[in-house]
Amino acid sequence: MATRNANNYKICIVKESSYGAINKTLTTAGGAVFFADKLEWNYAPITVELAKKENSLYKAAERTRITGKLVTGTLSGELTDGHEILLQAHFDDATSPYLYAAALPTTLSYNIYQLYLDSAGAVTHYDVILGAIINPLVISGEANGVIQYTATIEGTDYLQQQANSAGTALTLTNGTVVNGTPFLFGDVTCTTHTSKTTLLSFNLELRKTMVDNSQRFMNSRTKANDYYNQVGGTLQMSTLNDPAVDVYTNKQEANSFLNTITLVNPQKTWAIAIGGDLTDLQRPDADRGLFVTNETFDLCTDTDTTVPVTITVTAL
Amino acid sequence: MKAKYIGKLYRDADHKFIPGQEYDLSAKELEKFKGKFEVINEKKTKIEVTDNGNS
Repeated sequence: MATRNANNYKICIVKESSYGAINKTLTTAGGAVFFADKLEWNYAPITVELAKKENSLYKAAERTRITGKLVTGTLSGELTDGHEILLQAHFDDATSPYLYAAALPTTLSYNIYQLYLDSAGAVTHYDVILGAIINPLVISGEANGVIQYTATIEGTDYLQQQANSAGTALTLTNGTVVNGTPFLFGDVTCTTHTSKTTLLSFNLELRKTMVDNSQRFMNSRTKANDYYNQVGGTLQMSTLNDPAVDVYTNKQEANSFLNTITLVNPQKTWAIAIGGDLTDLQRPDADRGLFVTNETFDLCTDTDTTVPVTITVTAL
Repeated sequence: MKAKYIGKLYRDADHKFIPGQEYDLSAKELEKFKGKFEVINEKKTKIEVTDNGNS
């Protein structure tokens, strides 16, 4: 048995031709994007326990049934300008500016490959998650750090330990890992709803509320669609407290605010405009150095933006 | 029909409109998004007519 090095893999994301279908053409021209990020996934089927009993003190054998196939996982790492495919996958949108549609668009689904490499970097085997969607997508950063992302994956099926040869061979004409430049928190620019331009940290969770599993599986043991019935998320933000603008009275009362956070690297900017209702406002802790204002926003339309969140990618 | 979008950023299941950009829309779509577009008048090509009536 060959012993594998856990770090010796790369990730590939490629769009499917139809929901849950395998796409074995992993080429840059075909829209495949390769990452050197961390992928953790697991087969997590939906199971039921039958009511049958053993008629003794023993538990009944063969009493569980898999009633639905489901694969869950997370993809995480440092966010670079090469990760734009994650925005496409989450927003179900093809081009910048990325934004949620007001009415349900065609949900985009992907194959997510874990490509195992030999010592020369060639792909020997692979696992693949089929019918994968990215939801939620979290982008976060804090002072002196690099912007991080965590993409939660939900797939309909998987193939494991497929050999990259014969009938299961992949077309890999260009497997170069994306050469994106990480976004540093130190290069972030922002304008908060109180016109502050300094930021201590932020955590943006973009989330689509999926329909119940009963509507996704219907009379099938395989998930047939990924319809969703609401979009939004939360923005948590810490800034240095400014008594002149951080006034707490009635701020949480039916007000929508606009915050903009722009990720910058030498190649591109990702301008994130976030409209949201202020749902939580923590008073500064007087025992901890300088006063810090912690705010949480529930993403919703803003009178200026008309959409909850927009991410505009601009080449520099 | 070519039209310039003058509304705010908009996306639904079938359309995505970015302020200031031009789109090719049907009359039906223009009616649906009434007030959000400025129709661009395309210049008509001048056709010279010769004596024998052939252009």
